[in-house]
Amino acid sequence: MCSAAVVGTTASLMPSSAWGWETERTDSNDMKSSSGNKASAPAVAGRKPTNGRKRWAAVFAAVGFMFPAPGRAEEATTSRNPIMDKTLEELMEMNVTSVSKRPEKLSDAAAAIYVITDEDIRRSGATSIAEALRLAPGLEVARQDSHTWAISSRGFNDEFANQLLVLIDGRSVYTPLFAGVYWDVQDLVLEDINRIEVIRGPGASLWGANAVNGVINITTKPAKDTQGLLISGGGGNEETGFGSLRYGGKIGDNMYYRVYAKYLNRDDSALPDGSDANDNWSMWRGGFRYDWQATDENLLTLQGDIYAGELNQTVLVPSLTAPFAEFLQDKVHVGGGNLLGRWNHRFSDSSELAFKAYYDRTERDRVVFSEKRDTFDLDLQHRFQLGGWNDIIVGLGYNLTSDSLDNTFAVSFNPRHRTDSLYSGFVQDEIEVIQDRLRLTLGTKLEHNDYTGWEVQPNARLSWSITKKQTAWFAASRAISTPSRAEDDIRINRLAIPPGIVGPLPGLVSQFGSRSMDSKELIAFELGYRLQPHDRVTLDLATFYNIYDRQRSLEPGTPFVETTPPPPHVVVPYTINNLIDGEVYGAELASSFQPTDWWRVRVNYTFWSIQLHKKPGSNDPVLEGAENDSPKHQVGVRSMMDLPGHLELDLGLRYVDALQNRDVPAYTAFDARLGWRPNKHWEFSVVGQSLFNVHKEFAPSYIQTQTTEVETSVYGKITFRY
Amino acid sequence: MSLARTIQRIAKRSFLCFLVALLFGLATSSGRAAATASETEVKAAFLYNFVKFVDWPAEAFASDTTPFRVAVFGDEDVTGKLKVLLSDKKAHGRSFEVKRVFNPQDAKNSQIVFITAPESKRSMLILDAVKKLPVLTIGESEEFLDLGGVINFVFEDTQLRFEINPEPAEKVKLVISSKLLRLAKKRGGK
Repeated sequence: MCSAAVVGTTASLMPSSAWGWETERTDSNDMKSSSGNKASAPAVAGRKPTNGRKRWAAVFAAVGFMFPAPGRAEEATTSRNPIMDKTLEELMEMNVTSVSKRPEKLSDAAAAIYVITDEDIRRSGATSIAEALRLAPGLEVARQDSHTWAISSRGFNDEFANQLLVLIDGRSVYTPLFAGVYWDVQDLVLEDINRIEVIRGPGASLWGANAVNGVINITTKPAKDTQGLLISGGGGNEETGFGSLRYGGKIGDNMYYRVYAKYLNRDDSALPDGSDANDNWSMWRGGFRYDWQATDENLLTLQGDIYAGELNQTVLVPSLTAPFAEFLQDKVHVGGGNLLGRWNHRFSDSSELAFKAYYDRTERDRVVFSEKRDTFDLDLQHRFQLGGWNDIIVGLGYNLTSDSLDNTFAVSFNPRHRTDSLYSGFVQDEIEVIQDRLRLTLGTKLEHNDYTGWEVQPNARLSWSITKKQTAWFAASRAISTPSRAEDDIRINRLAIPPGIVGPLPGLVSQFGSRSMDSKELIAFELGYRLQPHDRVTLDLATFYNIYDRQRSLEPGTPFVETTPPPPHVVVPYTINNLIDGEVYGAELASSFQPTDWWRVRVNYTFWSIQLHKKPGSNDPVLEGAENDSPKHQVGVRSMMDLPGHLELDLGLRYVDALQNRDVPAYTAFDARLGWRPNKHWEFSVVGQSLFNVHKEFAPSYIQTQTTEVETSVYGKITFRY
Repeated sequence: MSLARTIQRIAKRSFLCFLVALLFGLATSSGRAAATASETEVKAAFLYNFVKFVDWPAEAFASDTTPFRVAVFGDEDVTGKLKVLLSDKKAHGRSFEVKRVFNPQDAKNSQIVFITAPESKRSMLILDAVKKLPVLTIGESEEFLDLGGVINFVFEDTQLRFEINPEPAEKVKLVISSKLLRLAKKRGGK
């Protein structure tokens, strides 16, 4: 435009006039000045005439404030940051390292919520969703063997933990067989995960039964945000090989899609004596997502995945003849797929309708039983505002699940086929009692299931924004977990006893499900406080007091003689019941600090105290001990540094207290990742997990697989994006 | 199993390297800009691009050689960084002068006003002071555009986006290029 070669230097040479901005702009003839008189406002429209003294005072003030550190001016000569040459399109593709993006506004949710972002996952070096969950406070995440995970919130952990609801893009991924999650088949291209919300405490009024101790809500990115090619792959001593391929494209102006494929292969973990546990596994998966913004008001999504894998495992199975127990080497075949459609319609800014439908098929063939399951689910939600201070969501849901199970001597189900349906409705009103200050949320879920009939799960939540940097919240809720298919119908033959010990016949210790099993109840009180004492520091404390009733117990029954299968044997039965109650209380602290722009630190601490009691009439010999199934203390520290030369250094440390009931000692695990991103296309990283120590994290309970140890894993990974 | 032990040994050694790197990083932290883009750096680059895609009326400047004046409502850190990053840059043949300001009235002589998030509560006052002037207003708060701001930064996960309200700009004769409008994120609201 205009030639002004000397301007750059004069500007910095003339600080007083420049910083005081004495020179006045030429009048804009077309601009309406506030006075309406153009001639009388030649300098700046609306500007009050300033006298000379005031003006100079302003100059000094400005200069004084501008240069508290004289060193700053010198930096100007060393700038030349390449970022300034980037185009807008390039800038929009950059990942910005920041804590201030979850910024001034502290979350004012009246719930213990923690969000794991895609950046957190990338920098954690996690290779699975389960592993990424280790970043959240208030969860117990334990690897039982190379593919089996036990994950729970606020206690009651097990491979078959049944009080945690897990959703991927709104699709429930637990199996109603035991109302727990097979974490080995829950996977995605991790780069496609948008965020993982971990909500501790009951989420039942919104999400429904089994969202008792928490909800894990995993959402993937819209196809629009995963455009282009992504290839990533790598391997190491434990991660013996993994690779993902994803391509995202665009059809027309408003249709986006992506397709992906992923493969992984993991090595054996170790037995306590150091030998291989023979639990290596591999998994293939592929899928797509298609988003169509049909109009401004209508968004349609269709997505699906298929997967298949082979998991090795060694299972101890009882037998009625010598040697009465044998280890079977199992090759578990898993497979499945799902298809989900979603329609979002916006009536107005304050009124939205969402409809979702999905079908899910899952198969698992183990040596002790096999499961094939089909699930259909329909869900309708309407959100609208009423009177300006009510934000209301109402919803209706229907779920149909049908299974086909194969029995063995060790594990059997009666009946082998079962189809169950679930009807549910919920309503929630978020009331702004005092604008921007006090919000009250009231809601309840009402549902009918084939196990226990009608269930009501209400909650009340209050959130108080004391200041912009301080929020306190309180919640009271009731939540139930309905009996799982296993709790109703299973028989597990745990242990065979050679003849001559309990009598002339061999003995068989068996656990039985029971149709008279009632739902388990929780009344929860939660109190939380969030504080941002400084722009770069956030603290989030959640405390809770949970009162449990009618929890699972195993009641010994009268031994009886059984003739099939031969030889005749004495069954020592234990039948499932609801005769345990208890209290759990605890506190979970999540904190983040950003000492400098290039260094972030997160520290989490979790404390739980669990007391379980047998109710009158209970003779349960084992499950009261579940109070020692969870660690009392857990600490997680993460440091993320952006170093010069496009390097990223990420360190993580976690301490998990002992699980006395499972004979798992306390352990400390150290993880590290060194990443290099020379440009936006390439990323190279080396990750070490559980460095320096081999440790046990969990031990199996119902299905007697081997207790294994987590070994040090080192792997390298290359990612290419285009 | 000896492999595992070798790896442990390597891991132990690399841990020491990490520690050294950590200490080194701490020692050299002051005054050293990180290689990966920080939020402020990206915002500075965005701001620079915005200026390139906006035309000011001639009367917005005292002369053909006056620099762009960027008034920043924000802390010392942000202002200092913007100053450094824009120090050797030019747009429309003009260089940049960045200044931290406190009083809304002091923004009046600038062509670009950047109201950072911590200052966003004062947005209304500041926007009011410059609303009749050819000033490109940039903010980062939810209600910035509703208050009459022109460009607003928003985060989409870890990526920075911006939204534009061209109306107040048109009123003061700022011409926003169609490219900038096209790249802007559509507002959820209106």
